[in-house]
Amino acid sequence: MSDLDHRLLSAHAGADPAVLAGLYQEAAHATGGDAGAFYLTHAFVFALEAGLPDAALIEADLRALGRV
Amino acid sequence: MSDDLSAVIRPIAQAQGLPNAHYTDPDTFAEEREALLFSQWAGLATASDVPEPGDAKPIEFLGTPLLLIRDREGQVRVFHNICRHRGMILVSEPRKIEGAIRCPYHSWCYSTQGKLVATPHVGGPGMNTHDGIDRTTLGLIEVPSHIWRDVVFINMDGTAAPFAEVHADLIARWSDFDTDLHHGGGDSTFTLEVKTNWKLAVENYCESYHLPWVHPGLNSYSRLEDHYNIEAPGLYSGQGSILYRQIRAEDGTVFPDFPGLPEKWQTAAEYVAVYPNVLLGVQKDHAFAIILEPRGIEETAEHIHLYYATPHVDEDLRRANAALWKTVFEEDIFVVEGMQKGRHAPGFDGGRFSPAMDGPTHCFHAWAADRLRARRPMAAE
Repeated sequence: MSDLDHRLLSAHAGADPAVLAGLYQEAAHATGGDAGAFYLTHAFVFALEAGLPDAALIEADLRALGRV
Repeated sequence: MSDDLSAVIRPIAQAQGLPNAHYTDPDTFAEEREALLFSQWAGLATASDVPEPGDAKPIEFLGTPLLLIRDREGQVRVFHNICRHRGMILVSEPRKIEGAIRCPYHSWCYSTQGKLVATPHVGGPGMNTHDGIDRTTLGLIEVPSHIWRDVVFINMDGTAAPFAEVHADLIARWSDFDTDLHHGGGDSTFTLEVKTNWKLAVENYCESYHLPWVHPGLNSYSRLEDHYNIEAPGLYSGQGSILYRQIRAEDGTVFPDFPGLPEKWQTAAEYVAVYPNVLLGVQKDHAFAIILEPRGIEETAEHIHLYYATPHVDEDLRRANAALWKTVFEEDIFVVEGMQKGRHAPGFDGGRFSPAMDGPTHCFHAWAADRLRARRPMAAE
């Protein structure tokens, strides 16, 4: 399991959406393609939940990918 | 079981009270839930329960899971506390919503205004839209709500006329008190769990007949002869006093008065049951609201909140005032629980009213009977 996987699991256990949004963005950028869109979707959801300004930017990225 | 409501709506001197079934029978309780609570403006909570934008509090009202929330713009709203996807409970404990309400099941997200803002993977992994899912039609289900005197009133079935129209008479009656109310905070709210049908709490509250017997401590400064009946058929009823004496600390400290009150309120106070389930009191220096939460046929929670004219009042006096009212309201518990037990005696026929003293109670019974009769087939009676 990668370091990022560990950090994601740990963040889920901590239930902090702002941290999760950042980690899923990191995962999205590290993968790309369908897997990247999957992670970016999670980043968007947790950014929304946390009320982060990044939510609008992530949504724009998803829109550019035809995913929203 | 006989349930002749025509006797209830007779003139008070000939009327009978509501039959036992209205306090003991599950089918009648279900009927009253629709006719007396869901179709009216019922009290749910207070706006003070969610003081800041994003504050959210799940509340169950007669079996329906609701979410009380103050949205990002500061407006208090009430939603069904369920996701439009699989009906999952959205918020399970009071908390602050920082951004969106995320369903804990599949993470559909809603704004604090109830708009569905994200449907992750709804079109497959990483695809967040689908032609079959129109987000504009899948927002949270909002319950019509209205705040008056800090009480959040809701109309569950959406059939009632606007609150301000329905209660225009009482709003005008108490327009002198149309000023800022400041909740006294944590030591000015308490809940009493009472083994009674919610209606008996209304009935006991709105009449002064019992005061000298059940609250003998009031005799010294709030005598029976200083009270008058308040009756607004179909709307509210209660009692008033022409001899209100405010609480005073040993050093003479009193609460500040609400601003701009006419002279009559220097010595007057009024206590009104706003049908169906909200009990309000106004006095020159403080006010209170009691929201009756029907938890079952024979189980009611009384949520009491005290309010003042200014954000900060003397702390010791505020605590003493809350203790005083708690004592008074606790003195009523044996009465409403005793009447509830009495409703299991088959020989009780609803009882007879004192034509002089029980007008406010009969007013409430007649309101209930009218609304129940309006929903029943003609052949039922």
